[in-house]
Amino acid sequence: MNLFKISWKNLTSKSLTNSLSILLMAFGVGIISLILNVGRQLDEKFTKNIKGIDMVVGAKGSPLQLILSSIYQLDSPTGNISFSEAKMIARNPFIKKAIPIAMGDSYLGYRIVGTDSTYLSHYQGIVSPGKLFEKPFEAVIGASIADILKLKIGDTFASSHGLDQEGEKHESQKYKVVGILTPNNSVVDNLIITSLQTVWEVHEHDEVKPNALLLLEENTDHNQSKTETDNAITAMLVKFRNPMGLMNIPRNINANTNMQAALPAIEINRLFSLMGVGIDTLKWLAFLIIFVSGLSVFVSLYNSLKERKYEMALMLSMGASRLKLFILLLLEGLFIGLLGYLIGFIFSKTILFLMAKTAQQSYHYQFSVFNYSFDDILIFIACIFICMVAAAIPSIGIYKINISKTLASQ
Amino acid sequence: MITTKGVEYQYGNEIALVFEDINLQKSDSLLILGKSGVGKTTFLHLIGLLLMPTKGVITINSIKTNTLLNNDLVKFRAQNIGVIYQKPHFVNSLSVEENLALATYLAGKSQQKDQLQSLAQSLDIDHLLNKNIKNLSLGEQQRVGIARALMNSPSLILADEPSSSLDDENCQKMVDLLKREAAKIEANLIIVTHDQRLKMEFENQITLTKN
Repeated sequence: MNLFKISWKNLTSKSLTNSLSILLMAFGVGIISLILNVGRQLDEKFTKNIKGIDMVVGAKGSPLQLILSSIYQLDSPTGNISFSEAKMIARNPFIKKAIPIAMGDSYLGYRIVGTDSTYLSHYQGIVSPGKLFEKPFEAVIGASIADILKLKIGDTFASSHGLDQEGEKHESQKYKVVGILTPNNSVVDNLIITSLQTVWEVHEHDEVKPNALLLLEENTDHNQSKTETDNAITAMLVKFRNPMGLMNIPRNINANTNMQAALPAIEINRLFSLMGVGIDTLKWLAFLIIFVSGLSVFVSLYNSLKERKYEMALMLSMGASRLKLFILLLLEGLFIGLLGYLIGFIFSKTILFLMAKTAQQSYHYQFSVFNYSFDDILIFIACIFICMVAAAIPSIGIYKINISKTLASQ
Repeated sequence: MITTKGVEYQYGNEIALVFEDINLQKSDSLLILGKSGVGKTTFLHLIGLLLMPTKGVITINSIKTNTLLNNDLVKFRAQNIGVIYQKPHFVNSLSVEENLALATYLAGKSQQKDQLQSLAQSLDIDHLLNKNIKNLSLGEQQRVGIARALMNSPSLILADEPSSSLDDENCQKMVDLLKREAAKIEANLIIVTHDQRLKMEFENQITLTKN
């Protein structure tokens, strides 16, 4: 016999009322934990991938779309820009690093990105096992792709046009896997990376197809059509040498060329502030649920104390100190808090697990499910604190019980 | 052993209740009779140290109880006095056995399973130990109440109208049981009642009247 046992028995004897409190607490905890977890992981991933990229140059269109497509590989690209024009911009002394990328094809939904070795070194991708692509149609694949599609070095595959799985297949030329990247938890985990040349060759082949318009054009300026200036890229990721570059270059590009310059930091801030409204609303809702749960703990203990006044007086007469009974009632609140937290935690992890599966399937985006962060500890403390306070307020009544009067009253 | 001397109790501004002195030696029993409202329960609560007298001294086992302070008083009461209430009340969420064990736990004594078992046997409640307290009959509940009062082998057993809800047969059984168990642990037994059936059972009795 001890306080824990008595308290637990009291709790289970009123299982309906207490289940409600526990369930409410679990919902509140589950929602908050889920929001904070997803929010934090999105934030981490977004910030990690943005690191070192100050500006993205691409075709005119939505700047957010340009950022999402070229940095995060999430949206479709805005269009193509001329490689030679992009190279002109890259010559600016304020620019330290300029990484060209060309997209348009995919393999089983995984994007094929044509670029040069700077792209991999920017994301600190390490090719192991294998080597970097050298010849056309050699490709390096991200760790997740190798894992999920079971691709090994030496395997070949045919890309399909477009970024979804339904595109027309380019059967004539097959890619060959020459290297696999070690996992590094950035966007390259889910990419197939090849040389710019490869992407150009695939699409050159397309453009040679006889076409009335093309034939017409070929007659007029046949000589220019086959030069290197023809080559297009999707975007160019730029890092400035110093912040001075930020002052003029983007404005210049937007005003004087048919390209646009987008600043990832600004666009991502904009995206988060858009999402933030929804997240904040959910957060407040979850806090409200936790508060109501605290209220429910309060009401149920308040009522049960009224019913159990005689029991309390009895225990006092049998030698229990008032402090002991106060602790007994606090323990009931603590149990509700602990159970509510535990169920809420499992609930949030289950949802996160299901979300992670969906995100992996449709966006090739990984969430880690089994981690315990500082936020989780804060939620735990808040949850226990609310239950304890909700239990403590009615439990003060213990100190007001008149033993003799209560025992004589019935 | 218990003696009271000049004990009075006053509720607020009402006229003080003055109680007759009592003096019990080891193993003595006493029946306190009186009509409703003469302060029987108040007297019992005073002797049971649940109330402090406004005047007078109660001495139990040669200890002047008015000298005991808070925690000492609570401990002294838990270890030396067992009370049987008019309607047996229990902690409803606990089983019969747990309610009995609660008495030793709250008195700060170590749990003795075999003592609980033998007490339950002698009160014929050993087959009820695992039952929920709410599912017992009144007579059974009364016996569990007696068992609980005896759990810590007190030197003073107090019973407040123990027979009020019992028929003649059960009333007789209960009286026999109380006498027997009190004798076993050489405890003083004090019963307050207005039940005339008990009159014949105890030699030593006083009648409270309105003063």
